[in-house]
Amino acid sequence: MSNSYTTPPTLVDPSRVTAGLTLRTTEISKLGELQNYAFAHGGCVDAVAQAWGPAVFRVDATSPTDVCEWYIPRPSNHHNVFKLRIACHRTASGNKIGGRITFPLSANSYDADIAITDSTRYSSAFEELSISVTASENELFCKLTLFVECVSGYVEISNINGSWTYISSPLSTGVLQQGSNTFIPQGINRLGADRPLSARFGVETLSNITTLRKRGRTLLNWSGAFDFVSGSTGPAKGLGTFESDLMFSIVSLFGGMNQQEDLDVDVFINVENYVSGTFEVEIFGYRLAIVQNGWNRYGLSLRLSELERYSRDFRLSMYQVGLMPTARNQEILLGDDNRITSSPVYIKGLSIIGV
Amino acid sequence: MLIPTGYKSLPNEQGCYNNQVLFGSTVSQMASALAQLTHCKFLAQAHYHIGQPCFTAIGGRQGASTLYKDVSQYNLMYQTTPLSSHLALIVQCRSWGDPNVSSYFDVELRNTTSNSYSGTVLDYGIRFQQGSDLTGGSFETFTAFTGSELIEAPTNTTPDFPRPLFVPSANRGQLLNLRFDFNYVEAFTIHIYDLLIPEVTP
Repeated sequence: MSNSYTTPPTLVDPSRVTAGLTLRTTEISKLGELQNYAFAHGGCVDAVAQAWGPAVFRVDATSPTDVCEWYIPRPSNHHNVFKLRIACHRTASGNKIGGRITFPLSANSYDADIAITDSTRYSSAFEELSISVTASENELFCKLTLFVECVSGYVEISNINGSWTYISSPLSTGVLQQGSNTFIPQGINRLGADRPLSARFGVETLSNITTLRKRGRTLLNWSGAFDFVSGSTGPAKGLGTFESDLMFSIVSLFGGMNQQEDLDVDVFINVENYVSGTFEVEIFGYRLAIVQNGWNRYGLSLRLSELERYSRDFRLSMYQVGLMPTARNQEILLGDDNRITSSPVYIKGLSIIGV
Repeated sequence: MLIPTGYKSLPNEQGCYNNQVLFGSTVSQMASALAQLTHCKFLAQAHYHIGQPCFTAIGGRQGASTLYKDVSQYNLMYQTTPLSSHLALIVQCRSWGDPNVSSYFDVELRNTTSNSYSGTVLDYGIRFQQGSDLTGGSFETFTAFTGSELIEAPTNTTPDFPRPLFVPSANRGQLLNLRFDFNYVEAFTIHIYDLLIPEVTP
């Protein structure tokens, strides 16, 4: 019994699944394949993406040094290879760049690094790392850290992106997990002609759809630069006042989220210099109170207004998701009146993951 | 088949138990919900924020940079899905603002064979020109948008007027490179989206 799927997936003919018609194996086997495809491929798109202009982000650390960090969603407990692509160059051969995935609850981490080949910006080829999760992990959010180590000179980072590798057809047998939720792959042979269709197929299909609806999508991901070559200018370490005009994505969120369990948006805010007291930031239509230094997490339901123009263009319900252009945010973001040299509380990372 | 764009309520699973009459609507709702997942929810998107230089004494951006390069190139990777066919772009940027300087940017689509920046051109792409295509926005930012027309495979060999980029069927599911050439334009954000195909023939 093979839990296979076809790529690209083919849909069920809606005219064949209306009341009064015989339920054909064609439609049922397509339903099975669609589930298997969605589990294998769903969410295997860019989980992180960020870029820097020419000569902006240069790192000269001579020991392995973390330079950026993001929260990313993991599609399931069985998606174990993360491909990290880094466009970068170096001034000395032997300079390396790497990525590390850390699961916050288990505290396990997995990393990979590579010696950089290019010596000028976008000279010939980008670097690609495969970070393999080799132990069993059941967390659906993890931290991705970028690190650099130089022999001499510096490394300049132009842009990065990364995605989980899809699971090849067929899926393995037995129950699969997405966090604490289950997914039961569908054996395509069992759904073929002249086989009895069990009631279990319908129950499992509904359960699988419910699980897949909870799978995360990156809506916004940004990290400040933690370390770089010293000088009067460089990449942003934290969010500045200008970012409230820019630090958002226009993205689709789907109707029905608020009516169903566990379909919310997760906001992760990475804060530096926080000890105690009130520090609030307005994001995704909420005023969020920071409670600890480092990463803070919030699960939020959708309460923004739809963007009519983009909704019409994209034929989807589109929303502006991110930092809000409010007076309160202007006060807490880095700027002339709130310089990093005075050690204020500032935001050095922001990740928003929807469903 | 019309692709649903929302999470409609699913039928009661008891309707699938043994000894129940299985109406067509139960299977139809399953088909519809799976189409929403595969052809809508799991479409690709990428959101690049472009870091421009800022003063280290401040630590963050407080305005458009006076330090950015007049001419710059970006090769932004984009992981497509097997269903990615048309790519829309939303770009926030600032132009030079001098009528004597030609401010524009071009975008083209390439494959990434051997991780190369100079892979085969898949779509010779588009040009956004100051004065005609860089409009809207607030304060000092412009918003450039390709629109969302589901175009046929393009045949241009020089940059076209703004439209979505087209992914040939042989390259769907691959990692692609969107090459941006900015001329007297400072980029702040670049958002890349798979476009929803609202009706698909099964």
